[in-house]
Amino acid sequence: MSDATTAKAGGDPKAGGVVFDIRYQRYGGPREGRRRARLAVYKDGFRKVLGLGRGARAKLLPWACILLMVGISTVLASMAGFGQRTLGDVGAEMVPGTSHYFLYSFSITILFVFAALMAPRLLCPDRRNGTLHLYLVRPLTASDYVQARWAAFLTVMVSVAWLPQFVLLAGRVLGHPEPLAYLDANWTDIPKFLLAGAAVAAMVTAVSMLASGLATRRGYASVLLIALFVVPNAVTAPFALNPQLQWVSMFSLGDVLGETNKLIFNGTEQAAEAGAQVEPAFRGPDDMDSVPTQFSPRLLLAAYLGWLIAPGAILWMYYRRLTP
Amino acid sequence: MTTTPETGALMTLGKVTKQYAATVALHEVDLSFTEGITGLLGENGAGKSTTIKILLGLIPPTSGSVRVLGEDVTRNPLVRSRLGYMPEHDCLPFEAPAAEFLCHMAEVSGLPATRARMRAADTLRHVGLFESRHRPMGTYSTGMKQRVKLAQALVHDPDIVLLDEPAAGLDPAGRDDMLDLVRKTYREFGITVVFSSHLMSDVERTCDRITVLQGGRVARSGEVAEYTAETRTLFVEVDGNRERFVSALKARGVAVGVGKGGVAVQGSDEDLFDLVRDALVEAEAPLRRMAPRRRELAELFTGVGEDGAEPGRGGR
Repeated sequence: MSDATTAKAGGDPKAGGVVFDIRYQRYGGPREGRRRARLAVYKDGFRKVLGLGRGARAKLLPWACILLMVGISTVLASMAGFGQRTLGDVGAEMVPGTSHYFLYSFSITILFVFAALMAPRLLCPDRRNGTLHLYLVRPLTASDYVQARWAAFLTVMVSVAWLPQFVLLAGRVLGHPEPLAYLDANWTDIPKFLLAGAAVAAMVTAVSMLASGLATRRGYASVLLIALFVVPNAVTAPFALNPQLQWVSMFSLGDVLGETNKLIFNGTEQAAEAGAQVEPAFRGPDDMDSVPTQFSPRLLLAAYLGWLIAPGAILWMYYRRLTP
Repeated sequence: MTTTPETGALMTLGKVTKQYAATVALHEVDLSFTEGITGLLGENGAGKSTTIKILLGLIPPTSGSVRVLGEDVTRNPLVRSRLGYMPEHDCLPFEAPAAEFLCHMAEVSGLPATRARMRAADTLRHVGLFESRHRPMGTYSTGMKQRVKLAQALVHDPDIVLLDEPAAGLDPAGRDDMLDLVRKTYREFGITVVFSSHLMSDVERTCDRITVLQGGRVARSGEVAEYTAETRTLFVEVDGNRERFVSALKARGVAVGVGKGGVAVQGSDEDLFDLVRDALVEAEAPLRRMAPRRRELAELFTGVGEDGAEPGRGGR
């Protein structure tokens, strides 16, 4: 059904435009069900975290954190490249703190602050504004919704963790007089920093999404997360000095993240001692930053999985009860 | 559209009971919804929202069966891609523009991205928000927000839309506009509407059928026309000399009820019109309006009889 109205301008019928009111049109196209619904929630989550399609205020915090990390890695890459170019391998060794391990050891804090500020954007407003109800009356279960949001935040976290590492790698490779030789000698750094980045991102995502899922206000979730990062760290610090009580440190998020990072890059103390006996030669510019973990890998793995799985499971169960 | 073969119903509740701890929200409710606009009428706590949530599959019934478009909605969430829901409470993200929000909601309902964009723009045009579609929804008036809420329920072109108090919080003009949109949703768009309200006037003006819930039970159910049929009462409004007019009617043995708006005269035969005309002439009362009185839905609750005259105000 259509109505047409002819508008004539200046009395010239040829100049007239035709306006069609096509009325309401029923939709006869494809309906792609849950797959499309999950993808839409995932895409929306990704955009929300980074403030894409929003004003400058929404972009300020996430991009400031990202630029800070990229800026630091650029400085480190420049320092490493400058030392390498001017003084060769000895020069690179003289510039400590330019390793991939070192970059993670302090960027974990920035990553956590990023998560504390950004993760609440994904779950808190939907619950606070009541938008969650609109999701749940669509072909989407509460589990689909929370899994899609979780995956969106994990994607952002992994990207944010890896980006500075790639910048550092590019700087170190390009700073070396023989880039391919550098890559040949240090290629194992790449899987290590990819694994370490994914591990840090997954755990931080799990914890921050749980806090965001339980709080209705973004501010509460952010404060809770910062407290979760800082307070246990301070409480468990004295126990780390006593080898018998080191397990207490596994309740500290910061310690678990830091020690996991050490384990991935530098292995354990026992392995390091064994390696030193077998291979005392120069192993690359990371040597000065190589501090192996003092913890048992089993304990560390158990603690890591506990911090990863428990918050994820609690969040999932919490949302699952919202739909039958 | 998938219906129940025997009844042609789009949605059915079969002996549905919903219990929250010690409170029974719905008690063995048997209901079916067919094509058209159905009003769910009831006071707060009557079970309207619970009924809507059960139909949407948001909460399971404690007992009984629920079929929506021939499917069990709790087992098959895909049915919800054919349903729209407009909640009573706030549900809009204030920082997002309406166009973007609707596009997202269409995608979440399963529409591909390009189709979702087109549907979002079309739907906003139909609810009268096309010009404001790129503004953040936090800057909208209450009426505009209600329209966006309706638009998000329609954006994926559902077969049935469930509206929970759609005119709540609107001024009279906004209420009229919203009720017009609700009527348009079925009459022009062909989408079946289930519309809950505690305001009888809204239901009376908008719906084809009505279901009255009281204390979690179905009190009445049927066509609105049945409840608002003409009564055996003539309603007369005069511009002056009302007391003289009433006296003149009583002097002629006519049963009269006096209300705020006018005079209810009992009876419907031809002779009554002559008696009213004579009384008007005798009382020199200028006639403003004379029409058979229709029953109002409010009487379903207040129990006013068919005669329409307020009790104790005279009789034939």
